[in-house]
This record gives sequence, C-alpha cells and structure tokens, in this order.
Amino acid sequence: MKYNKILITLAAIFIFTACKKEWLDLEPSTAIETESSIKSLRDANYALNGIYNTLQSYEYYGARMTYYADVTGDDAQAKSNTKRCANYYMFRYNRDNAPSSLWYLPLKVTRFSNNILAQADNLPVVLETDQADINHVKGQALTLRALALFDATRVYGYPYTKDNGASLGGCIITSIPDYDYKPARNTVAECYNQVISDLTTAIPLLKNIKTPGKINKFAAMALLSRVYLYMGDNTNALLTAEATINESITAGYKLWTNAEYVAQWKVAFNNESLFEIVNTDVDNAGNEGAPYLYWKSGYDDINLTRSFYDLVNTDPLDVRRQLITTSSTRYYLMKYTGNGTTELPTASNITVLRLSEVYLIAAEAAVKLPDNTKALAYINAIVSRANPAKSITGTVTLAQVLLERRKELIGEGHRLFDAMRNNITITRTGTSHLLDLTAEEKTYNWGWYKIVLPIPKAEIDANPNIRDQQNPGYNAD
Amino acid sequence: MLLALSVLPFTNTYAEVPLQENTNRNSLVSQQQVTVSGVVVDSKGEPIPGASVLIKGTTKGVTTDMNGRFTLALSSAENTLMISFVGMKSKEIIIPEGQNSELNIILEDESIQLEDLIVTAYGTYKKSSYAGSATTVKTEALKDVPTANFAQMLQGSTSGVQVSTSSNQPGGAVSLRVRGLGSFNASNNPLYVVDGVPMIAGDISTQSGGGFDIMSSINPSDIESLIIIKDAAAASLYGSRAANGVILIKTKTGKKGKTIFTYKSDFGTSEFATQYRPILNGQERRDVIYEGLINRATMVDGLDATAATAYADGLIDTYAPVPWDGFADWNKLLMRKGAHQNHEFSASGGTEKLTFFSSLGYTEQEGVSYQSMLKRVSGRLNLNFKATERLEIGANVLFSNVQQDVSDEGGTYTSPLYSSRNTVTPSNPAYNEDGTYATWFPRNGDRNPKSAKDLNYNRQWLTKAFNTLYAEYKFTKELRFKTTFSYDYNLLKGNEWNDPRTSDGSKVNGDMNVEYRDYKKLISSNVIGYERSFFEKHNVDVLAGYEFEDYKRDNLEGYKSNFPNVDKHDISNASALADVSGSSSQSRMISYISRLNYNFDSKYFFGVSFRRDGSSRLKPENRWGNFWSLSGAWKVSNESFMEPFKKIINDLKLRTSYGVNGTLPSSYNGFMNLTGFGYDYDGQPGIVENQIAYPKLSWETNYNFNVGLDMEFFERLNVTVEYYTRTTKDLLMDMPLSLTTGFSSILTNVGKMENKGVELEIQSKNIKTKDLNWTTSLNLTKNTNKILVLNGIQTEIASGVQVRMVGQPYYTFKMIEFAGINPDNGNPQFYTNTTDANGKLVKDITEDPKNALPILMGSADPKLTGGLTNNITYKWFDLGFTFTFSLGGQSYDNAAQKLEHSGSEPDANISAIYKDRWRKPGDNTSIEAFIYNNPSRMNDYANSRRLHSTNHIRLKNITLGVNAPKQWVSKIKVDKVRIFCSASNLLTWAAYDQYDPEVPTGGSAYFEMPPLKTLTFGIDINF
Repeated sequence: MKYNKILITLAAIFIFTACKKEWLDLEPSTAIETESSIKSLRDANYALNGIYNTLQSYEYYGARMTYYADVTGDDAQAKSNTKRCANYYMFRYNRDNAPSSLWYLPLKVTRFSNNILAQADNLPVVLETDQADINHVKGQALTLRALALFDATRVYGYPYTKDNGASLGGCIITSIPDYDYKPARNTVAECYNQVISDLTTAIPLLKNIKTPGKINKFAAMALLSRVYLYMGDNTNALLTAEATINESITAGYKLWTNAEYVAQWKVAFNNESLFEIVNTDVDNAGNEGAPYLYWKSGYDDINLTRSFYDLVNTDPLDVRRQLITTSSTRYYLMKYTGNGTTELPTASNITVLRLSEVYLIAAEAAVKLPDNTKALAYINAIVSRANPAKSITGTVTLAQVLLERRKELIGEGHRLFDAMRNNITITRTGTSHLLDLTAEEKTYNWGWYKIVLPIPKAEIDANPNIRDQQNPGYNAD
Repeated sequence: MLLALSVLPFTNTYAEVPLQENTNRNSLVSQQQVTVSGVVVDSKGEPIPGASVLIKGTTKGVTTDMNGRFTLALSSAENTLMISFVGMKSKEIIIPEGQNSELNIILEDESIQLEDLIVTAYGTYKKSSYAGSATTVKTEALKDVPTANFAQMLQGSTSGVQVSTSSNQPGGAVSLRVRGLGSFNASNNPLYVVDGVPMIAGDISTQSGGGFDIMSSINPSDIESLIIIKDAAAASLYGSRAANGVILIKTKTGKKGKTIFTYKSDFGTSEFATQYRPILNGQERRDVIYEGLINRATMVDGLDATAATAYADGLIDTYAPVPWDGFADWNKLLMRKGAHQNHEFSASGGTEKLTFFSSLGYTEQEGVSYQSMLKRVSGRLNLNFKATERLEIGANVLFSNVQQDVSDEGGTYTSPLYSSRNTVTPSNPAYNEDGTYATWFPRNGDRNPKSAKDLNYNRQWLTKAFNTLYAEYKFTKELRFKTTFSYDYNLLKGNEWNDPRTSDGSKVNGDMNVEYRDYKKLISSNVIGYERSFFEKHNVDVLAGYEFEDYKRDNLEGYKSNFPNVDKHDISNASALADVSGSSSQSRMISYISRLNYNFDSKYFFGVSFRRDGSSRLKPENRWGNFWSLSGAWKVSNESFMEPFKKIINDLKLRTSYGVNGTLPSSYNGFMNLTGFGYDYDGQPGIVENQIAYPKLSWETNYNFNVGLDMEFFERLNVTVEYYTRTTKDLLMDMPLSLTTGFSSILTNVGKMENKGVELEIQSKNIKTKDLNWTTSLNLTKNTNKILVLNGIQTEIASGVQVRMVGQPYYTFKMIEFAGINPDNGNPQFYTNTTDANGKLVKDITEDPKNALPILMGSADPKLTGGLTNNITYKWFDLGFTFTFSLGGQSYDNAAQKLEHSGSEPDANISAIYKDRWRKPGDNTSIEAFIYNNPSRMNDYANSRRLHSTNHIRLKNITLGVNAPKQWVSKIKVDKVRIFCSASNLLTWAAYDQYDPEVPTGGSAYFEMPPLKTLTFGIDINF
C-alpha cells in the first residue's frame, strides 16, 4: 500500500512535469516581431518617433552632426587633444579609425523611413482625417530619408559645386534592404537628385501645422532651399527660400526681434524654429550630447575660438555677443542652456532648421544670381536684428553673407560646409588653437582630401562594392 | 569497561551498537575469555576517541575513550574486530588466538578514497574506471586561503583551466576557461553544477565597478570537492550547456556518527601584489615638466637657452605648482591596506537514517580602494533521510546574503586607479585651504576623486536561495528512479548614490539609482537507472531521463535626483524623477538524456551517451539539437600479462573519448526580426527596428576528442598525460554587415575554431612515514587556439589592436612595430614593414608612424602554464604552498594611450617609465624625450612598445599550520585545535613590472583592480 502511494506520487511528478511543445515558444517583453510592427496609423507615428529618437542620438544630431562642421572650421575647437571632438577638430581620422556614426546613423534613418513608406499605403483608413494623417506620416518619412541622404552626401562627398556632383556621395536606398545587401556608392549628383525628388514629393503631402520637434511642410521646404543652395541652383534656392519665408509667416512663424533674441534660445518651439530635436530633462542625448560638450561644467569639450570671439566682439552691441561667455582665456557658446523649464543644458533642444537660416539662404542665393535688392532685404533682416544700428548698404558681397552666417549660425553645424561649397579657404588663426595643429590642418580648402570623412572601415570591410570607393587620399594615409 | 563507557561523551549516537553488558557478564563464568585492549590512532598517530570497536558477526562492542583506548573481552569463538570511525576507512583486525593482546590500530582517512570518485549528476564513477577526462581539485589544500569566490582558488591547481579576473575588488567577476576559448560571441563560461544541479552563474553586476560574481554567494568552506570535466565523455550528458566544460561542486554532507562541530575564524590584510603603474612624485614630476618646457622651447620652437629658461620659468607653475599643503599623494588618499575577517561554524553528523551538514558563515573583506567591500552571511543545510529501505529523500538548502561595495574602474574620472595614475597629480590638492573639497582639477575638471570616494557609493546586495529537493526510489537492487526539483532564486538590489557635494551629484543636487533584479531558475530532473552484472564479468549501467528548466529574469529600476538632505538617500525623498524602467526575459529548455556504460572484467570499458535538447532561444524548426559521446578505456594493469610488473607499475590505463556538445546563443530572441519599444521622443512612445535575424540560426557545436594515459609507479608516483582537440563549428558570430542595411551585424553560425593541447599532471608521495608526509604535484598545460573559418567572406576582422584572422589564435595582436628611440633626437621610431617583391617585410626605420604598416605581433595566449604544489606535514605542523607560472604570453597596455603622453598632456601625471627618458643626443633608451606639447607623442599610436610579456612565476598561496597535540586539547574536550597563517600572491617574479602580469582575459590591461597580496591568520577548532 505504501508502495502504491509512492508510485502514484512518482507518476504524478512525471505527468505534472511533462511539457507541451509550445512551452518553448517565448516572446521578448520589450519588442515585437518586425513583420507586424506597423499595422496602423498609430504604429506608423510611433515608428516616426523612433526615427526622431535616432536623430536625437549623440551619434547624429544629438552631437556629432551638430558639432562636426563647427569644429572642422575656424570658429569652434576642441579644448584639448583628448576631447571627444578632438579627432574631428584636428582631422586626425584615417581609413582605420574613422568614426562610423555619420555614415551609419543616416543609413538607419533611411531604413526606418523605408519601413514606414513600405506600409504607409496599406494602413487602414478608419476616420475621415486618416488619409491626411497618413500623408503627413509619408511626408515626414520622405523628408527624413532626404535629410539622411543629404547629410551623408555632404559629410562624405565633395561639394557639388566643386565638380558638378561627379564625386561619390552616399548610397541611395529606397526599399528595405536584406541582410546581405551590398550596394555601391552613388555620385553626389545622383544623391542630390534623389534628395530633391523625395522633398518635392513630401512637401505636398505634409501639413503646415506646427508639431513640436517634428517635420512639417515648412521644415521640408527650408531643407529643400538649403539643398538647392548647396548644389548651386540659386534660382530654385531663392524661390524655395522665399516661398518658405512667405508661407511660414502666414502660418504664424516670424523672426525673433532684437529684444527677444537671447531669451529665445531658452524657448522650445519658438517662432522661428522650423525643425528642432526635442530634448527634455529625462529624454536627451545625455552627457555625450552637444549641450554637455559645449558646457563649461559639463565635459568642457568644445570651446569657441579666440578668433571667433574677436570677430563677434568687433561689435560689442551685436546681440549675438551675449551668447558668448568667457572664462579666463576660454570662450563658451551659450545657445544650449536649457529649455526654459530647466536650466540643465542637456535638456536643450537642438536646432536643425530655423527661419534665420532661410533668410540667409535667400540672401546668398540672391547675391549669386545676382539680385541685390533681395540680397539687401534678406541680409539686413539678420544684420539689423542683431544690432538695429547697423545695416548693409550698396552691393551685398558673398563674403558679407558668409560672415553673417558665421555669426548667426555658430554651433548649429554649418561652417565647414558653407566654406567648402563656396571654395573658401579656412585659415585657423588666433591664440586659442591647439599647438599641435600642423600647417595643413591650419589652412585648407576644397582641394584638401580631409574636408570629407573617410568611409568607415566597417563598411569597407563588409561591402565589396564599396571596397574600392574609399574617398581619395585616405588610401595613401 | 563500564567506567570507560560512562565518560565517553557521545556514546548515545551509536544506536547501532547496542552494548550488551549483561550478556557479557554472564559469559564471564560460562566461557573462556580473552581480553583484548589497545589504542586506535589516525595516520598521524593521534588517538581517536569515540571510535567503534565491534566484534565481527555480533552486536557486541565498545567505543574508545578519550585517549583512543579500549578494552574488550572476547569469547574463544570470536576472533575478528571491526573498527570504524566517521570520516575514516573501517578496518578488520584478526586477533591471534587465545592470547591477551595489546593492539595499535591505525585508521586511514576516508577522504583519500573520496578523491577517486567522479560524481556527476547522472552517476558516480570510480576514477580508476572512468574513461573521460576529469580532474578533482582538493579544496583541503586551499581552504585557508581567503577568497570570496572559490573559482579564484583554481588557478594553478589543475591543468587545462585558466582563471582570470576582470577586477580584483572583493566579489569581482572571475572567468574560467576550460581548455581554451571555444566561442566568439556566445558564452565561454563552463557550466557550474552544485550537488547535481546547474546553478545560475556569472557576473550579475548592474554597475560599473568590475563585476559581481554570483559564485561569491557560496561559502568556499562548504565545498567538499570540485571536479572539472574537460572532455565530452561526461559533459555531453549536460548537452547544450557543457561545451565549455563542467565544474562539479559537491558540498559537504554529514556522516553517520558523532556530531562534529567546527569553528573557524581568520583575519588578515591585503594590498597590491605587485607595484601598480607607478608615477613620478610631485618634485620629480615638476622637474620633468621643466625639462619638457625647455625641450619644447629649444627643440621645437628654436629658442636660445636664455629665452628657453624664461619660457619654462613662466609656465612651470601653471602645470606643476606646489599646493598650499605640499605635494599630494593621491595613492594614499584613495587607497588603503584592505582588511578581511571570516567566521564559520558548522555541525555535521547523523544516524543510520538521517545525516546532516549545516553551516553558518560570516565574511567581511575590504578592498584596497576605499569604496570597495564585501560582506557575506551564508547558511547551508544538507539533509539526507532514508525513509524506507527503498526510499531516500533529501534536501540541499543554501541561503546567503552578500553585500558588495565597489569603486569605479576603467577610465571614469573619479575611479581611484585611473585618477591617481593619470588625471589628478601631486600638484592638485584634495582640499582647499578652508577645508572644503577642491573642485577644480586641470585634467579632471570639477571631479574630485577624494570627495567621490568619501561621499558616493555603488552598493549591491545579492540574496540567494538555492534549494534542491530530491527523492530516490529503488524498485529493485538494480533499478532506481531519482527525481530532483530545484529552485535557484537570486535577488539583486543595487543602490548608486551621487552626493550633491561631488561633481557627479552637484549638477542635479544629488541623485540615486535604485535597481531590483531577480533571477529565477527552476529545474526538474527525472532519471531512471539500471545497473547489473551478468555472468560476473559483464557490468552494465543504463540510464534514461527527462529534464526541463525554466529561467526568468525581471528587473525594475528607478532613478531620481534633487535631494533635500545629503544623509537620506531613499528615492522617495527626491523631487525629480529621471527614469523608471523594468522588463523581463525568459529562457526555457527541455532535454531527454540517456547513457550506457559497459565494462568487461574491469579491463575494458565502453560508454555511450545521447542527449536531445530543445531550447526557446531558437526557431521551432532549428530548436532541437542532438549531443552524444563515445568513450572507451583499457585498464592494462588488470591484464594478466602485467602481473610480473605489478610491483613497478601499479596502475596503467589508456582511455579515449569523442563527442559533441553545444552552445546556445546568449541572446534569448536572437532568431527573431524585432522592433523594440522604448525609443521614445518628446514623451511619446517610439519604436525602432533593432534586430534582424539570420534565418538559419542554430546551435554552435563543439567536437571534443581526448586521449589520456594514467599511470602509477611504486605506489608513489602518479602520472597522467592527456592530448585533446576541441573544434567548434557553426560558431555563433556577429557577422559584420554593410552598414547600408541599417545594421552593423547579424548573429549567424559561420565560424570555426580549434583548440589543441597537451596536459600533464604528476603527483608524487615523496615521503610517507608516521611523522613526516611530503607530497608534490605538478601540472602543465599547453593549449593552442586557432581560428579556422571566420564569416566565410573575410579572412581578417580587425578588433582594435587585435585581429581575428584565419590561421591565427583568437587573441592575436596587430599593430605597427616600435623600432626604439632615435638616439640623436629622442624621437620614437617605427619599422615601415612594407612588403618587398619576395614577400618579406622591409625593416626600414621611420619617425613618422603613418609610414609604418601594422603587422601581426603574436598572441596574448601563454604558451605554457602550470602549477607546482607541495604539502608537507611533520608531527603537528603542516605546510603547503603552490607556485603558478605562465610563459610565452603577452599583454597590451591599453592605458598607454593615456599614460605615455610624451609631455603632450602637461596637466596629467607622469608615468615612472619616463625616468628612463631620452635626455641628450647619444642616449640609448626605449623611452622618448619628454617635450611639452610634444608633436610626436607616443599615446597617439597603437604600437608594439605597448606589448609586454606576461611571463611570471608566482607564489600563489602558502599556508603554515600547527595542530595543538591531542593530549592537550582533549583536556578541554576538544578534538582538534589548529592555528594557521596563510598568504596568497606573496611573491611574484614577472618579466614586466609596471602592472600585474595576471591581466584580464583577452590580454588587454587598462585600469582594473590588480590581484592582491593577502596575509591571513586563523584558528580552526573541531569539537
């Protein structure tokens, strides 16, 4: 009898512990299968948020894309040779140590945009407003894909204006790649055409309402005007810039006034902001983000140069002088000082496109056409705002526009691109530059191979079609 | 006799020895009597009180008194005595007929017998009949060495095992490699099996301080034996988890007999085992910087001597001022001599039906950095109960609570190692003149490592309950069934506090991160075994079973800042919520196991095992893997033709095994295309595609071949030689993708890697007399690792200064080659290493590192490692020591990119290597000139000067103990009192002396806490 009890217990253990096959089917708790990830308008908007989140990363607009063109120019610098931006500032990257961020992150944005675009037309339309919302989603995905390709092309390809886009830029990808996808690079001209095509498709799809931290119609238009300007299509650049200015003003956008100027840098989604990356005190690019790098009490990584300080200080009444603070012989940019609700720099939004730039695009395109009346109007909107006592008269020169761009757009990621696309030689002078810069790191123009980054080693190694497409000069390093 | 019995303290535990006094008394008159008396002693001649002396075939007997003596009357028919004592081998003595005798009976320790058993979850083998490769580690020899984690004791104690620590903070992560590196991306850790049940192992730290090894929750004193299974023969039964070897841990159990109480207490100190990255002191640094300023002025800027002096005088106080309170000693400010203490109490014993072992331990260890500490309270209860003749049930219960405090490691600004060697200098005072903490450091910003050390903490608590219940039922003598149910529960709690008075906390007015994480594993195993002998010479042992395991991990984390009070750190007190997160992950497995062992006449052995595993970590169609092994042995010494040599060769066995086991992906969902949550933007949910999967992702399989020869000569000398190959196919590997896919890699099964090696173990009983025992053992390991296939496309994948290259070991260095310092100008030089028409390297010298091509610079792996142990006992004294050595390996000094700055970082510390710097033309040295803002600085280029030999010999541990003589301690009713002192890493002879030669796995040294030299004193009491 006792044995029976035992046998029953043992049998029970066996039966109880015998498992079904499905017992081994487990799902992750923090992810879903990609195949079913975008099934509704709601999902698509969350997927868009994922792209903006990618832009927010310090590897993209959160820091590297935002400081790259500044520290490789003459107005910002690494505080010392061990700082995060030092390799960029000193052009100390080569085919082996090239950072992959500015190649890889735009490609991620491209893939994520393509994921949305592939599903956009299959999304169920339930409400009447849904189709417009779906179009707005598509428009954003297209604009983000265009921005990503444009960024890759201007970082890795020589200026369009140097050789009419004959050199190699990024990779045009308009569908979702398989894991063994290995494309070759496209020319700069092909890339610009693709960017323009995406943007011109996107603009009619986009709404003109202002959504904090997201792309709308005016952001896409402003970007398009910048693209035209970069490729030397001054007619379209001016046309698009003017359209952006006029239409956005109708929608409530306007330039800051002189009185507002300094305070507006602490205001999120202000009147002239066309597209900015949102950072909050709990969701930001962290200590690797540009604001923390520019901050004296942060990593104190990026300083303004002495020469830039002197340049701005020639007019102490220029309102933009107030955005520079000095500490012994260091100069700090005060554009990233919180978002109004917090003083914490890491919570500062990152400006990608704002109205002042569009005025300067219009001015530059007008100078080049030339159309001096318009050039005067647009440049003085910026010059006289900075100091109402000042204005430009007579024939506006390219040098004047570029000088104004330096003062206005410092720390927003423009200087190297502006100088190179206009074949300006950058000369680094002044006492603040690090002693170990070599002669060629102090004076350079579009003839120097290092004004574009080398294609990262990871891509060269894994992709036989790009293996022989390293940017010229780097293979001889 | 009655008198003797009445003073014996523990006679009542001998229920099985009824003492029939009345019968005895009656027989006095009726039968002829012989009186036998004597003493029972152990192998050292110490008397054994309480030993049982029984007349064979009867229930008559006595127990020995406090002096080990006994007297017994025998009738004429009775002539054999059975003498037994717990922990000793029983003995039979035949009494010479018809005489009164005085006997001296020596009992041998049973533990000698235990070492010859290989106990696996699926059966116990005698080592002499085992066909696989397994080594038993005698913990006895290591028990006095203080260590939080028993795995650290294994270094040098056996062949084929490499132990390395990523950090030597108390409780830091220890990694064990059995027979080399088997995997690229999946786990390389062996499977840890405690009392037959696989235990959750590894580093569970959630913080940055060098790891928290889950094994530090086990009190090493509770371990009776450790067995390392190295080949496929037994390991294949553990299937998919056993590809990297199996560590079988057997904890202590009670034995029938007197209850034994032990108390052990020890305490001691610890410090760095070798000097660690020495730097120049304040004045030396100031002098070298002054020289660097002069050099800058004259050699680079071309100033004359007067102008140069003016230049140097103008700048020297910027970079090397004398602080208000004199030069600071940051090593002293941030480091200490660590102290440790340990107290343990155990009781074990049992009756015929019930045996038990229980223990309670408390350990406290301070690290050498101030913030680093470990406290453990642990308890264990092992019970076994024979319910009926057929049914045995039992439980193994472990409960422990470990608190670990860690200091930052690596390159964090306030890490004590990093800051004291690099960023804070003797010219930077820790305090301002008003007594407040200094908040400005030229190279470290506002980060004061001293205030961080005083006010911040990284603290974790691990609470572990690891409980196993089992029942075994014998249907017949041959057929048995065993069911085991185990639950391994671990709760990890972490607190990370940044005080408002430190740089980390000041920006947010203090912040606290709190984390709870639990790890749970349920294992059920049901096994049927059948053992039988046929026709006397055919012995068969068959086993079949079914197992499953369910593993789940949950975590919840909260992070808040802005605290009103610096002393109250609960997150409820803070005003700003920064982050809350939580998630869970789960993994399951089902297994079917079977095994057949056969031997003929104990001469020919044959074994086969088969296991089928199904895992949740793979797609349903690739989920099931089959693992198997074959093994055979020939016991040559049991052949009749060996009979004439029996005196010379006592034992000779040839054995071999071959088998397959597997490794699962580390990722639980690696086979899925996934889009993840949590990529939020502006407070709104965001999703991002974050994994693409290889459609055919499957098991990584490991093919093990082993051949071994065991020999024993003259009953003194044991020699074991083994040769093995271990080939891993379908390596789980992150194959690099073109970044144009939006992904940088994909987990695939593509690579192939091989480990080959030879192992030698020699054990010699040099002297074996009553008073003096001396044994020596030596083990040698030679393992060669080689990559056979990478991803099938590339033959070379760069990984920093290392390269994964077909035909080379995994840890192979590739960098430009240093060619010494130009004696004329003090500049570093490099070999160009271009290839000429004949394929030979051209050794032209260049000062421009850009003109030097990187070449292969050998591997990190040592060519030969080993250990030499001696144990000597003389009367009351015992002495044991182990030397370990490693030859032919290299390490790469990753810290050189910070420390070898050649003057380009005048705000930083200066490494002591600059004492040998080039100073004037004609100097022959390997250290470049020190020049302020040096244009050709050595920290910019990964070059072969940073490679250093890891050759070393180390006195790993040494213990000297003294036993108080039995006569003395018995007066206070105590069985044993032993006092001892021990030391670990006491002496080191290393080829390179700037940092410890035992570097973390992979051969890269940065700023990790190096091995410590510990000194311990203790006492051990049994009663």
